Amino acid sequence: MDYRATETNGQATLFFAGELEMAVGERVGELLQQYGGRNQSVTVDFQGVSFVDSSGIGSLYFTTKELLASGKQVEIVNVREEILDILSVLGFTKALGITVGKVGETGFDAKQRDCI
Amino acid sequence: MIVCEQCPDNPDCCNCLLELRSGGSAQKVLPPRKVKVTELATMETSQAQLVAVSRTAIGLLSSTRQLLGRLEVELAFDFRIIGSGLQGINGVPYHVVDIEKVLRKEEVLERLLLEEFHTWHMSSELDPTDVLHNWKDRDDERGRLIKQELQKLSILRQIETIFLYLFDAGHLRPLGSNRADPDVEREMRRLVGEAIIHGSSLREQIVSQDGKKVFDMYASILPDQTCGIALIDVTTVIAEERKRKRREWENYRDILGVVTSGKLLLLSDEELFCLLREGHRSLAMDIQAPEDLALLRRSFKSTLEPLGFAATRLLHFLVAVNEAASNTLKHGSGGTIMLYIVPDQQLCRAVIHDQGQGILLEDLPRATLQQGFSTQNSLGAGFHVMLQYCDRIYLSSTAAGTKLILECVLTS
Repeated sequence: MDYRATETNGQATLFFAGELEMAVGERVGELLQQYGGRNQSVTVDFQGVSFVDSSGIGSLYFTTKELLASGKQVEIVNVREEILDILSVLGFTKALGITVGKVGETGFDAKQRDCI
Repeated sequence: MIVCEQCPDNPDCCNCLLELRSGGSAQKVLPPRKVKVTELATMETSQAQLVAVSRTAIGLLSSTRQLLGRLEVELAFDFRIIGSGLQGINGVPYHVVDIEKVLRKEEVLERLLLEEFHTWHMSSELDPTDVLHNWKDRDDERGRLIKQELQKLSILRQIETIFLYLFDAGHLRPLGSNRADPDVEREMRRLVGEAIIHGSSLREQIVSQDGKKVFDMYASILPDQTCGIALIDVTTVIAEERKRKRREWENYRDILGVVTSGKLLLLSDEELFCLLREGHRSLAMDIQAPEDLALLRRSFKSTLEPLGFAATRLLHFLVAVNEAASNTLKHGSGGTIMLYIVPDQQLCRAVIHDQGQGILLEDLPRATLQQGFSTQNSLGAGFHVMLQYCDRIYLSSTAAGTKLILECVLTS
């Protein structure tokens, strides 16, 4: 799992790539907490995500919930069709009630990524 | 005479059963179960395969150790057998353990029976020495008193027949008019003989010669070296308890089957074993850490891709297998994952086996059907995903662990 982040005027964008699974789930939640804590709005870009499971997005789910409860804005964008289907079956999108956008926006830049 | 280590695959082989010397009640364990064996003299432990059982003895395969002397065999944390280990057949790593007692938590009837009877046996309320004084005149009265005391034990109210005997001066005679069959009385004499040799009270479960009755037999040594014997017919109790548990299990199986439109099926271990024999194993690996999951997915993908899986369907199956595999880490210390291909039926089956504490029968509906957010690190949606992405799920869960089979048709 790789990631890259940008921050501009209280708006952070986290670009994730690879497999969002049990081994990296907690780290993903920590990153969202870290960037969400110091920005008013966070966009999570899923274009590079090729696999998700319930353990991998569990921490992301709970952190997103906390940020929303504290008045922050969170959106998830550029989700591949097949990954969106898995998120839907997991109940992720319905339970959070947030915008989850399909692929179509700016993608992940592999050259600038860090490894989780 | 050779004991085949693949005995369950050879239906004609009965050597392991014959060695138990238990008549028709002995059964093979299909599939063989891994058990922990502790030698009570040294407290050294080892692993063995439980391959045969009867009411009075079990058969173990152990190629690493000689299982002799007094042993504790741990089938599960709350299911243990204490017994004496013997070499089953010379030259073969097969050992017979004669059961002394069975320690169970959930089998309340059996547990209570033993404990309550032990309490009675040790109690001064029924000091057996009293039976010796003027017994000729007081037989009826003593018999009545003992029965009266036994009636206080609620569990024994369910028992139809109790025989009380006294062994004195080489003669075995009943207290009262009830008399057991001659073959059972022979067993009593044998047990009394062993109790006198050991100088301690003994308990044994026996089956009548026709195989239709099961008795709990207790021989209690008295201070003057005579012996009191209680023989309790537990046939009905055992049969009723088994029927009750079986009915309960069938109810859960039916409900889960109906609610999931036949997608989730509870099966016995033996049924699961037979199911897997329909296919051939293509892959097997252990999952011990979250980092193993990626390798598992890659291995499954490279094995299944050439079989003609559509990309999305393969992804969904991998997600389901991954959820089941990660469950073994969440609820235990990992497990074993295997992949079976059944070419005749154009399907594959992933087998996920862990040796955790299992899912209690009453928790099964909630564990398998309720989609919730139960922990901080997981969405608690594992079974929901499996049900959505697999064609069928077979489940067998006991205190010794859980076996889950995820089935996916290749061509749909």
